[in-house]
Amino acid sequence: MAGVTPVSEHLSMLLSCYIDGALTPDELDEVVIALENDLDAIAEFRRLQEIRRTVRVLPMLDMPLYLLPGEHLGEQLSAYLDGELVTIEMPAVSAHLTTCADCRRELAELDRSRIAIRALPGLEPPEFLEVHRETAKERRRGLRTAVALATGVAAVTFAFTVGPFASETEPTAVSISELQSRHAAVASVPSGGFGVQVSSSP
Amino acid sequence: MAENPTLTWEDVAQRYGRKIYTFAYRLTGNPDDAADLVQEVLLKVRKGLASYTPGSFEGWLWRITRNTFLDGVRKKQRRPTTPLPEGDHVDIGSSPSPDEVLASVRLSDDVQAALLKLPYDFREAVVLCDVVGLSYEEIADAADVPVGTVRSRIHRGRSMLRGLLSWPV
Repeated sequence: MAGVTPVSEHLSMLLSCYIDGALTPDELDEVVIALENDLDAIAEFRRLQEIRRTVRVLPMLDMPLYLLPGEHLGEQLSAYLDGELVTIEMPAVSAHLTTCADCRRELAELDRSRIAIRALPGLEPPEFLEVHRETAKERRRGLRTAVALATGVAAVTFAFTVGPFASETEPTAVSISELQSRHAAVASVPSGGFGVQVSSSP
Repeated sequence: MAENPTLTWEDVAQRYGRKIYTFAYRLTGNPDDAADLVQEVLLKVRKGLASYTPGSFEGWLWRITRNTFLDGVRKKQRRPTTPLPEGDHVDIGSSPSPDEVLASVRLSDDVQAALLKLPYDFREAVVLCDVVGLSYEEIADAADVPVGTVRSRIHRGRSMLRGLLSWPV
């Protein structure tokens, strides 16, 4: 496979090393003498130079950007947990997670939070319903006094809003308000949501 | 590179990622394998930097790179690879002369194909020397062979390339 060379294998190798500046002083002397006196050595030197240059001009390649650190995944992590990533994002996110301990740590924390939130119990039905019955009575009373001020829907909202401030002796209103604030964040109960349930309670 | 005990893995990724990627691509002709290798190496660098003691960083890094590459080859028992039909990736490296650009465009696919025909030891030595730019000593350190072996491998690799590529002299 190797090209035919008119110089010895030994001299050819020295010429190759000479191009790379990797000769000992004695070898350098040998090469210099050959290049001053031997046309074949010069031709071999030029051939080796050409081969080396040909390989050296091969371009350095631009590696995929996702392999570089610096850009953390941020909100993509939650989407990743929820299986909501666009397909095209998956390879880059997976690759980043392979190399980025920060994002892996954040992913683990997000996962723990997600599990904790998902493990939260639902509202306790008996107490919940008990409170609602009470509240329904209270609200009906409140509604009777407020009915001149607003429509039914607005009145329900009003009862929630002013309940805690209307009277220190209205614990049910306070309880509902507390319940609402306690569960709103985890159960995504919209403001006024209880009112709808209360209205539909028997 | 100057020895730098405070080097972070991010620094390594930024400074050497392309070289590692290019090394792997030139050895395999396969961009997926090259990307896999970069990930593996950076992971090992990240783990290893804590225990890295100042010394020949290039030797350390390329020893990791080479061993990771060979481990991957052994594990996966890859089929023989071929270069991508669409040619090289974007060149964002140093600024070669117009002649060099022309030569690289014309020849890079041929040279890549020829490289893949070299025996692994020769290919690796030529790539580490002429593509990555390591010294013979650094290659010897990375490959854990004497410098004399490196000299021989590079020369034999170049001689074989001469037979695989034909050009006017």
